[in-house]
Amino acid sequence: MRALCWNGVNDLRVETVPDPVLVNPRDVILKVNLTTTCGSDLHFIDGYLPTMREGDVIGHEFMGEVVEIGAEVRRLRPGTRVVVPSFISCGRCWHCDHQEFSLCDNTNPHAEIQEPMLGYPTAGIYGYTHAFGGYAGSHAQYVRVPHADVGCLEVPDGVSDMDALFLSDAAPTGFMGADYCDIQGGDIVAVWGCGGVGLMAMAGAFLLGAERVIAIDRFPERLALARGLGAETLDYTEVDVVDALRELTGGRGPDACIDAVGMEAHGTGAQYAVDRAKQALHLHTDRGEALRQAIRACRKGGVLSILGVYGLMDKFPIGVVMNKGLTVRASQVHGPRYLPRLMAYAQAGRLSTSFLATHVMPLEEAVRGYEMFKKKEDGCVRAVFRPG
Amino acid sequence: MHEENTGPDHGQGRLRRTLSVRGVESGALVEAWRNPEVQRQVMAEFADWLGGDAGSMRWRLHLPMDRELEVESREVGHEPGRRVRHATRSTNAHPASMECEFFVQPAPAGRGTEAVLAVEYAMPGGVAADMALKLFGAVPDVLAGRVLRRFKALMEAGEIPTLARNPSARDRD
Repeated sequence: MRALCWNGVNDLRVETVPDPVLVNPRDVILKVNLTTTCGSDLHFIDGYLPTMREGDVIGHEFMGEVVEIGAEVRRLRPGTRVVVPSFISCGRCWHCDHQEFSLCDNTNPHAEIQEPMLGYPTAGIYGYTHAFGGYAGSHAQYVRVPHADVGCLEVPDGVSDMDALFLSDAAPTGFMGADYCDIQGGDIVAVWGCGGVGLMAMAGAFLLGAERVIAIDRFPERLALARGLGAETLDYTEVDVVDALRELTGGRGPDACIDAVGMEAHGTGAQYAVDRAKQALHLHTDRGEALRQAIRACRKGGVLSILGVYGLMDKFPIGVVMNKGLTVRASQVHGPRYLPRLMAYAQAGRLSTSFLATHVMPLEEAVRGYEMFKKKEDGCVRAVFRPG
Repeated sequence: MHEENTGPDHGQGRLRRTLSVRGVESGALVEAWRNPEVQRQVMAEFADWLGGDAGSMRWRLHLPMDRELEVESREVGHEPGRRVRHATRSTNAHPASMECEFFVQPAPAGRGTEAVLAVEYAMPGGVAADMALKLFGAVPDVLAGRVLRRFKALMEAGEIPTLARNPSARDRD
């Protein structure tokens, strides 16, 4: 089959690789209908996250059609159209039982890589680093889906492939970030980053009852998409974000701040320059400008919800978090916790996601797609690939 | 995980590793640990099963640098439903040896059972053995950490996570 493979820092190629096969009894093989870029892919493409191996098939946000099922698959049949969460979960461990699916104990074949750094390993994920399992990803014609009865959610008639695609990762991640804010009536939520996850966090915040949402980014076309969802917007290159948020919130600060940017934040000022230099010298992996700004901007006693992906960062202002009494909530996405609810929203017309697909192209053009996505060329929010 | 060097000689140590397992009654975990088919699956990444039964299992261990070592693992103690102890020796007079005890204890409510693997290992023979242990040195970790994690996955989730036949472009050459 054809697949998009990582071959080194900023070296992606569409290549011919072996087809996946059923390995474990709860596996299915999925024919990938649509698969999309994610900002977190850029971290290993750019070389900031280690443990990739040359030849890895990448991609973790996808939907498609079941073509083969393992002997112990119960809910799925060949021909079932499904969307699949990016993290793989067993559905039986303590964490899965507590809806913490990305913390599953039993799906990371390389748990020993993560343990020294994290203490306890996370679940595995498709098409990411080997610290996160090393599973082949979805930018391919076919993909093996372990524990398919837990992960695959059937896409009902009336929901298109494109509407279902972003329920794989961007929508549940964003919605989870809003859910973590414990939104009460009258709350104002600020969201850093107007990419796919940030926009879905805004949509989620409104669905959960936020009074106002304030979006922060620098790209006019992305800020326009945020306004289209009903958010107010700030261009961080034009204003002091912390001051502006103070004024927009009656001097209180946002009740909750969502970081949907992560380790490759852009910014202004001296701290950003220091971050860039230290990252270039591999003294730390992260540029934490958006996160630090969110910590300062948040109201006293507010909630900081972290969705952006981070590695190892120093200069994290824990003293500010402590003295302001912030509640910090963070995790990788617990997809199956939110997927049924989001599918119901999509069916009811209350959640639109397909507008994220600004550029749709064959898998053979995926290298160009990632280039556009990375450089945000032509207003690219997400490049979507049709493996065909 | 607790690991220590127990004596003046190089190449000796003991360690202990614990994981909590849900969904399987504690006594059944001990009996599963004695089951050769379970052992074969749990050890599949590290050793080839050569034969035997619950009382005595023979293995070919995969060591670093494409080395191999054939061993026999004999059951030397068993309290049904509570604990089982195995002694492992080389079958070709290699001085390496290891004793492993697997036992269970209750976890707090809802957490299932704490499964404990305690390992003592020795590779006498001075500096050469010490170097060999550095090669061989992954083994205590393998047994106490990766093996126990694979056992937990098999017991809880019914299968062990694997990258077997994982598509990649590494096969293109």
